[in-house]
Amino acid sequence: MEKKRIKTFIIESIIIVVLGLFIGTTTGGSPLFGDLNFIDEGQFASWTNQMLLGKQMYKDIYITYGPLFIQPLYILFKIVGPSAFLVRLYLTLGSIIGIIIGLYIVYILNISKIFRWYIIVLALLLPIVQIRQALGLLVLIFAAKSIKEKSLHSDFLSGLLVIVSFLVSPEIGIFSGFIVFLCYLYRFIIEINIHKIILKFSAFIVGILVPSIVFSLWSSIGGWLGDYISVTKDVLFLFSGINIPNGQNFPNILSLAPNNIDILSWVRFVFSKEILIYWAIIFYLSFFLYIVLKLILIKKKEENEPLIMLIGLFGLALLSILIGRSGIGHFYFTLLPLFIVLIYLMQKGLFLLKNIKGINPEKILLVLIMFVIVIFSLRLLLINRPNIFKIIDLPSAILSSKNNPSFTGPITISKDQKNYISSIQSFINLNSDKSDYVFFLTDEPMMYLLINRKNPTRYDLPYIANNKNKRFELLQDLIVKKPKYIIENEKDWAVDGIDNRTRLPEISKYINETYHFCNKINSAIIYCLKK
Amino acid sequence: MSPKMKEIKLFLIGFIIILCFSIFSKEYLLPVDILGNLPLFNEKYNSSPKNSLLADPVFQFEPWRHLAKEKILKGEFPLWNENNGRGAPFFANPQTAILYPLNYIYYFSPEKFALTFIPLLKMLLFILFSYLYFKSLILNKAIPFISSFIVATSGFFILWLLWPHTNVFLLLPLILYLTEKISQAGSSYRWHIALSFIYFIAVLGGHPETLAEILILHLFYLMFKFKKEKKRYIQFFSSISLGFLLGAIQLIPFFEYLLNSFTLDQRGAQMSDFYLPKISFIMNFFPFILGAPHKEFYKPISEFTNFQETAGGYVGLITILTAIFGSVKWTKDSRIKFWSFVVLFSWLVSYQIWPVNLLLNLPLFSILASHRMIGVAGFGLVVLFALSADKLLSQRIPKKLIKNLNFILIAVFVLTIAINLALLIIPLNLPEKVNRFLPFLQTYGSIVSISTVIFLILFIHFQSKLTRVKVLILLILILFQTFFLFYGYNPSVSDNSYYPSTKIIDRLQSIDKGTILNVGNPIMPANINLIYNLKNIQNNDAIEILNYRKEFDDTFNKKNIWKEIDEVKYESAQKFGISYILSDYNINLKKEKIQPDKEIITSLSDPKNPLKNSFKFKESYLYGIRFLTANYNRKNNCEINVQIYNQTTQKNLGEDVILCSEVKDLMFYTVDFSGIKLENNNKYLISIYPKNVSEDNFVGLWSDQDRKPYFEILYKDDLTQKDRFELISFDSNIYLWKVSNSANIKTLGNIQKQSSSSTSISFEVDMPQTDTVEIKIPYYPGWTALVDNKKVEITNSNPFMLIKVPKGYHYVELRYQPLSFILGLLITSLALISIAIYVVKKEFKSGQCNRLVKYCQNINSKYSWIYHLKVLFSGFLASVISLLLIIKVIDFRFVTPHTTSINWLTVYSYPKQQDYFYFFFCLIYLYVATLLFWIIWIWKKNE
Repeated sequence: MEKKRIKTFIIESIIIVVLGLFIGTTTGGSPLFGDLNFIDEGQFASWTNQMLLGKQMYKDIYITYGPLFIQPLYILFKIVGPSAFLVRLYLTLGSIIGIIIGLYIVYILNISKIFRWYIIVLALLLPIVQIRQALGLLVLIFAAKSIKEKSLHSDFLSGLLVIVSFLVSPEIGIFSGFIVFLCYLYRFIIEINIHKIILKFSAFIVGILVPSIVFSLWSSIGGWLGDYISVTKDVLFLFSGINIPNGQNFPNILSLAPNNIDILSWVRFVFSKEILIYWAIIFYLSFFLYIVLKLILIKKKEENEPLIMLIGLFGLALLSILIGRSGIGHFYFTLLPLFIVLIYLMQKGLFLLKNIKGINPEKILLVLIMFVIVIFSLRLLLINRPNIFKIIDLPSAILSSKNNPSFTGPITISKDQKNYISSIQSFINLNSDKSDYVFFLTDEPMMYLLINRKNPTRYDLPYIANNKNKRFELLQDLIVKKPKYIIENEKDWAVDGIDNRTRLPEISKYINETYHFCNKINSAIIYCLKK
Repeated sequence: MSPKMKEIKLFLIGFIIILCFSIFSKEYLLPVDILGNLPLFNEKYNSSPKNSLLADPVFQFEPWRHLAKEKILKGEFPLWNENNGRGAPFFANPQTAILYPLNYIYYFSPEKFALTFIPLLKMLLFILFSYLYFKSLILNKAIPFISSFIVATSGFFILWLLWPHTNVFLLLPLILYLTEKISQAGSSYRWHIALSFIYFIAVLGGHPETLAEILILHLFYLMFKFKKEKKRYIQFFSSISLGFLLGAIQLIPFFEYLLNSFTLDQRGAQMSDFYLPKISFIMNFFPFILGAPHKEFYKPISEFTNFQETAGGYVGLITILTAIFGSVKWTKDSRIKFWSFVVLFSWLVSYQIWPVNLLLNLPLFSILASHRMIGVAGFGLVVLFALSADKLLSQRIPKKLIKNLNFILIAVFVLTIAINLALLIIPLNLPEKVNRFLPFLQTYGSIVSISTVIFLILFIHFQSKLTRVKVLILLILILFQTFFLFYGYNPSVSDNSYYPSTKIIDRLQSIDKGTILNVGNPIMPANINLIYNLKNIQNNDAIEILNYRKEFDDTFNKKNIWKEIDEVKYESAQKFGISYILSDYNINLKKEKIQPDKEIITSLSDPKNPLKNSFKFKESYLYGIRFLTANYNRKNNCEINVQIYNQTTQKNLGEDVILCSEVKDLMFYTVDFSGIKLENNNKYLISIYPKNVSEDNFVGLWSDQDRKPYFEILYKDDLTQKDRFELISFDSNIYLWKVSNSANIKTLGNIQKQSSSSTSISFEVDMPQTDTVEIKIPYYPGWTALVDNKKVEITNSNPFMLIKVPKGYHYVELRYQPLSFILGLLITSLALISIAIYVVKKEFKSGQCNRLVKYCQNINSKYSWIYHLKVLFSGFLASVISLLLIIKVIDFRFVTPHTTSINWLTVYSYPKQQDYFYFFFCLIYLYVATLLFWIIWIWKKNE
């Protein structure tokens, strides 16, 4: 990059950091403001806190992410002390880094300022960027670089980052690794100088091997390598197919379409949350048709074409996650590569637009396409941030966070949540000591951090233990470790509308037979072990 | 039209004919009427089977295909057969040929169509491949055409048409053709890749022995073909090896099964006994000399070598004579020399003649059924015929010689006619049986001799002026010795004959599913149960798990002439978790052989001449007498009366009747008597005499040389003793018993919620103490066990799997996830990817794309981007419409997969796989269809 561009990149990055830290980037909102997300933030809070309480990753805790996603937070907890604030800050920082990586790609693609800001605003206002996808994109940056450069550094780094990415999120690591592999394969086929490709591929493999060896040593010394492999394998299979814990049907366009010709129903249908996935599919189809046509027609090759192609492929791979989990949350998760692809196409369109004089069908068509893309973004904004202007309440809210329950940290949460946490905390602190186990039947892993007690099972999110093997494993842990209290929140959100009493019938039966009702605090029912 | 186009057209016409024939055929091309030999299906078949030799396709291959289809359509890969032998590897048994390309037709089309279409397609392909090979050898156009029909309509191919042997064998000419192509085209990689793929398909074909034979022949062929270009060996070695690497998905699981198999253990322990008796060599020339199995008369040449084996080398007398003539006449021609060697070698191997028999006793060769090399000999004879006929056509035969030949041939013709006439006129005092057989032999002999003579006469005269009509005439004459003689060898049956249901089967299907043991007669032989979704304790798959089979044989060691279990103890039935028993006698009774010899069939055709046999017995209660019946391959409606007479007290103790309609050859039949008390030291007489018999309406009993019938008595010592097996059904001399307290899992604990799929079994168990649990699935690699999601070790309880379960309430799951299959899949995938990369790279390198590049550049300069966009948009719309139509027309059905998970999908019974299917199918379809639309549009526009 030129010096001037580096300067603007740095300035824009700083703006992203500031806005990100104050406004926030994740589903939880600002690091300083908004109720704790008991599931998404809670799982990280619980995993790391359980590690602080002596449990071992994967062996004693069923972690659905890679160790490198958990370990930095664990170190932070060890240094600063555990708190929900730290979890949110950690996730927000991850997202901010992700947005900056996205911005870097935008710079590489020479996207104009207007579109650059377009994507920055979207990335800040929509929960579309997490460190996970950004790491995948980083892999692709180096893979694309390796095509242009003779040196082996980029190959080595892309290999290294594939593993890092895998150790943060297995899904992303597999997707990015697979795409890079395809890229080498393609080059191997078309390149005349095979030795060069073999050498570059070897550097990529070395890049994969180095962190793999380091990781294997680290995990085997820690004694959890085998458990890590078995949990990761299980997670990868679990989240694809009939056994998925949190997934519904993929929206069926034929059954969702209105069966009348009422224009309003059709407009509602086209802009409904479910149908937005089909917008994304059409965008990707159009992009790949464009790319293939370009390849077939041998248009002049552009410098950044490989990168945008890799990003498109990565985006399509991410989109396949939606077959299993088609909820809007996961849809957002797949959008960063799509937005990069879209602004790339918009920039192309704008360039064409400038060259067309007067008003003609070509111009109208181009404007129409760009308009559709903008409408798509606006619709997404409407879904996610209807209360964006509540941010102005931030200063007054910060002052009220003084009396927060322990382990919460300086986050302003609602009165209701504060009451709920405090009352359970005081009950547990009064009636148990640190060696007692407490189990939450409902999916509130954040509570393990907030009450600072050990979970007797591997599952901080019980709904994940949805097959019989896992249910019985969980049951055995309850039988053997006999938690002093089992807590069930009556008002807890049931994943896919199916509560854990239905999901875990054996556990429910065991609780009914072995525990009895002993207290109700707010909406939480506390069961005690029968004597 | 170019000759190539003509050939393609001809093939397509053939294809359309067999397609139409298969679509409109009202019958199943499968000899299911053979089931009529079994007592279970007695009521369902009115006539005797059209060909009694074709048992395997009905007893094994069709049930296996049926199971594979069922599983595939359910979305499961058929790795394990849970219905036979308490579970056995299914895919690993190569004879199931699950991945063989032609079998996909069966999986995705109606059975009736597929069962006709697949064998006919096999024949058509064999004709095509043979034609290609013969054409690559010789110049004359007609000879390859005739030869390819000979080889596909005679001997080996027809006799084994319904077996997986021909799945593999049909690739032999293609392999040879590719070898020829490679030798002509230098080292073209395309032909080598094609060769690899053919070997891959041959691996999937389902018969490793035939593949081994083909491989040996191919190696010989390579040595002959490239003896001066030894470097070529490496190329061929690579492409053949690549073929086997591609086949790793089938080979690795197969080798795993083989290494754990009963068959290897048995075959490895003994000397090779797979060879044909030398006397059967005559069958290569006159296969119907002892009759034909698909005709009225048939007798095997010796007890264990039936027609299938001995006539495999037959290719027609004309072919053999021409081949022998050629190999004697043109001894200097290297190709004739080579193929003569092949034929000779194959004969030496098949008949185990010195010195080749020494080789066959070597460890690896001794386990192969090498006598099937007779098929290679047949193929070799056809090649020799083709080469010789080609040479004959290219040489001018002296007129004098033609004259002499004409004279000889006409003389033979006249002689044949004369013999036939003489046989008609002169009365011969031959035994009745021979007298009845004579017209058949006469017809057969006449057809062969007359067609041979006419063919040779015409061939000599047609020489080098072969028009289409002349070729057709010659072909028809040859077909008289092959196709027409074998016509009907593989018979078809009507709709209601295709695995009909019977009262006993209905009963078995209506009660709780459990494993069935067959006692006595082969009432429901192993594997047939698959058609009816029943379970059989035995797994007759020609491989079998070693420790299971050994333990089974040790436990049920009393076997009868059918090698079926002849007696069963309650404890043994429980040990193997048997729930039901099918028997031909009351198994609660004791059984004793009184006259054990079964040497001849004694006819029961004379009411005045009853069969008699006496016996003495100690004090006990007689409940029945069990005979070994015989019939003469026909339906009878006579009766046989059986009487018991106390010779000491001179009292008639009882009598009962055997219905001839229920009598099957070599089947046991029990006559019931209800508790006749037998006194100590008294002598008893059994008297058997027929009723309502006529010349063609009588049956027989197997007996010793003195006409004393084989018989066993069924008795009870103690009348107060309680029956251990509960009779739940009886029909047509078939008993169906229930074994009480039989379980699939043996444990001290209380089993609940037991569920199983084809590759897993799970249950909840409440254990009073830490103890082992025996799961009655044979111990075999690939199974893993989890107790409460924690892996536990599986030990061998010989023959079943044993795991340790701690005290308390637990969930146990066992899964079959064979590493051998995963490894094979990985190697096959890697090999496929490597080939794909290699091919694409080679094509890029060879500059094939240059033309395309120029064409595209031309398009680019002609049209604007908005034009492309318009075409693409139209293409997209067309694709969406066609996609919606496809989804509407093809009724894709999905069922919720088996799982223990409780989630939104299982709560609402949502078949999740449909999301994956539609997502990828629609995405790929829309993309490819839109792009194709654009390509075609632009291409047409540019034209």
